Amino acid sequence: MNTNLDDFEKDLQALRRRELPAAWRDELLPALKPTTRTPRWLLAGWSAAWAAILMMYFTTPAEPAAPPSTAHETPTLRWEERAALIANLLASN
Amino acid sequence: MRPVRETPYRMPATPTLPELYDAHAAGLFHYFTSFTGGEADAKDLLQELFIKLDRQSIPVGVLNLRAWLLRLAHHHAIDWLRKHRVRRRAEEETPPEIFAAQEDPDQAELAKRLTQALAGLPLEQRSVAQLKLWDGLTFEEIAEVQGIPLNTAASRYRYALEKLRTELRPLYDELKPS
Repeated sequence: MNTNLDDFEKDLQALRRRELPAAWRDELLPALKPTTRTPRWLLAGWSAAWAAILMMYFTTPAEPAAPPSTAHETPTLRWEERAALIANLLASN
Repeated sequence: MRPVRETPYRMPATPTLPELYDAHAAGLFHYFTSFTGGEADAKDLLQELFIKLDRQSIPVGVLNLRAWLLRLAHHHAIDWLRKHRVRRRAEEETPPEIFAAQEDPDQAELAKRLTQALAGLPLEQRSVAQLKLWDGLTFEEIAEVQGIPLNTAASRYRYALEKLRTELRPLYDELKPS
């Protein structure tokens, strides 16, 4: 295939195309500042840690329930007794 | 698909975006104008292309970076055309300036007429002519960039050149008497 240029083509080729305005470079390139992305190794570590936590949570047996304690139980006063105590207290004042 | 033809030039390392811009933005912009017919849209396409380049890395084994970038630009421009075909027709009436200001008045006139003549070409021929004459691509590279057969690239160029020759002949003969 003939790829040699004739005089006409060479004359056209000799015309320089215009350069882009310098302002475009300043306008375009700062807009391309890459957005901050979380590194992959950090995401992988984060995921692994959560997976380990969840696995431990679901595989560890629950603690046995504490036996019901009676040491700190206070007898529940009945409503009538409480009312009588209040009445005595008020009467003494 | 054939690999992009090797040229003596090879990037020493992965270029940064500013390096890519300095080396190729003007050529890419002019290629875009052959599709958009207007400067504003071509500028938008250029910006979008660089955003795309910011997000993707240059594949290993690219030997001709310019051809690779032009192929990327070509696909981007085709997508744009699909969306904006109607608007493009209206904008074609005022062709953007392609050539730098010429000191010689004859050259300035030639540049002006050539800009008009290029605007009058069908898109397929105009873009091939630009790639051949001012981007310095071979027909093999043009075929690769545009995804067309080699013979199609060559015949589009031949048709484009004949039209330009016819359009510019009076002025050209005047400037270059044989």
